[in-house]
Amino acid sequence: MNNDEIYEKEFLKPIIYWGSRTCLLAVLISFAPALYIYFAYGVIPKASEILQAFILVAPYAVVLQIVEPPSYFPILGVPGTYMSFLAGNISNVRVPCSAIAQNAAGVVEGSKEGSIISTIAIGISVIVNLIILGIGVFVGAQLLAAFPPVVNEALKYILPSVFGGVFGSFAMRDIKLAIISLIVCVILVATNIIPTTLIAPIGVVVTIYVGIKLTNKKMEA
Amino acid sequence: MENNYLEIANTFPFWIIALIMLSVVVFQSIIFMKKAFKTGKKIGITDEQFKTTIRASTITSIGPSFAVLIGLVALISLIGSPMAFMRLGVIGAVMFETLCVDAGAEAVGVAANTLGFDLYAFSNVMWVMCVGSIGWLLIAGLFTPKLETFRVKLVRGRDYLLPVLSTAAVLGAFGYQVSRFVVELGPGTVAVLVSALTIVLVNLLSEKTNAKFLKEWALGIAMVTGMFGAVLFS
Repeated sequence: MNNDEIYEKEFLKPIIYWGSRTCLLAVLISFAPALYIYFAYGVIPKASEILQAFILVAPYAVVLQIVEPPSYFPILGVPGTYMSFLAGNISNVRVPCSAIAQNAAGVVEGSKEGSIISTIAIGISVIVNLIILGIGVFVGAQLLAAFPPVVNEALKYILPSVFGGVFGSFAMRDIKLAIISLIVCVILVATNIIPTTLIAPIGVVVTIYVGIKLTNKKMEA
Repeated sequence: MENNYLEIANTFPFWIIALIMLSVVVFQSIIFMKKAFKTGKKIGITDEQFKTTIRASTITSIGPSFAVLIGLVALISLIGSPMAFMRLGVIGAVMFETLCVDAGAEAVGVAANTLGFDLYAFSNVMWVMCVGSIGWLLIAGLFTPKLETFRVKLVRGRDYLLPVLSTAAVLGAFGYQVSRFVVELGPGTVAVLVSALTIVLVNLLSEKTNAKFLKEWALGIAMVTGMFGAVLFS
């Protein structure tokens, strides 16, 4: 067997088998808390109330559910997509870990090697994340209180720091694309002419389109 | 109606449900990593690359995990420890879960963190968290192989497009995340800029000096610099 066949048969096939099953199993388990409250305490909201609550979160959730998987797929790969959407915290933990690990290991994202490195990076991040949350669930409040105030103040800015760092590291590879993406997104965010949940997918589609065009041109030249 | 819903939300059965859900996640991660190590060795990934990956990912995930921890502590006061742990360890993100608490409460005519928020409201929150988030699991569970097929079609043998695709996708998605903070012109803007600049410098330094380990620390260093840079300017 050559490497492509090994990757397909020994890796991708079982990953898809287990990946789809674990995600679907999680769907079933996610009903457990609500059903338990019903069976143990006889409390269940009216269908109309569940629907009304769903309608309130849908503009955020449903749009993200459709646009996030294809947007992050090129970096996460097949196994990384199963893992990330099961474990959550995608843009703030999974994508940064996968990207930084692939960069450090010197593999090409989207290649077989990239997909394998991404799998390990995300697996490690799941475990680190759960250990910290596991400790945090018991002593989180005390832990945060024990930090010097400046640390708690600084932790407020961790999201922009993660996003800026990931963006900066990818901007190094293609500064032209980075500037185009930034200009498009800043204009859309600042003018507020379209729903915010749609800005990211538009940014992704535009940059991928321009990226492919520019590269094809370079290759033909 | 039971008013002290938090007492109920912290009972043993909720812990059991949380542990079952978390064990699915851990199970998946372990199986996937085992396969990745085995196949990776066969197709020529070196031990050094594996070690680099483990170090880089550990360093990179610590900072954001502490940010999730802050969300966890806030969520515990709203839905109890086991469910907060489960929601943020699986599927969840702080923003979505907080949104669900508000939406679930509003739909039954109460507000979160008030006396009116009872077991009935809590059960509605549990329903909307579940129904609202199964889309992520269903789409990943059912359509991930389709995404691979789509990518292969898009690239059509032009393998040089693969890295372009991932670079462009990240620049597009994070371009939006970054611009939210650029536009607000506050400490968040400083964090974005300082962190982006730092990671560029660290990566350049790593290439200049051939110090490969710096790439593992790149985002870790950039995050810390960005965070404290923002504090200095706030």
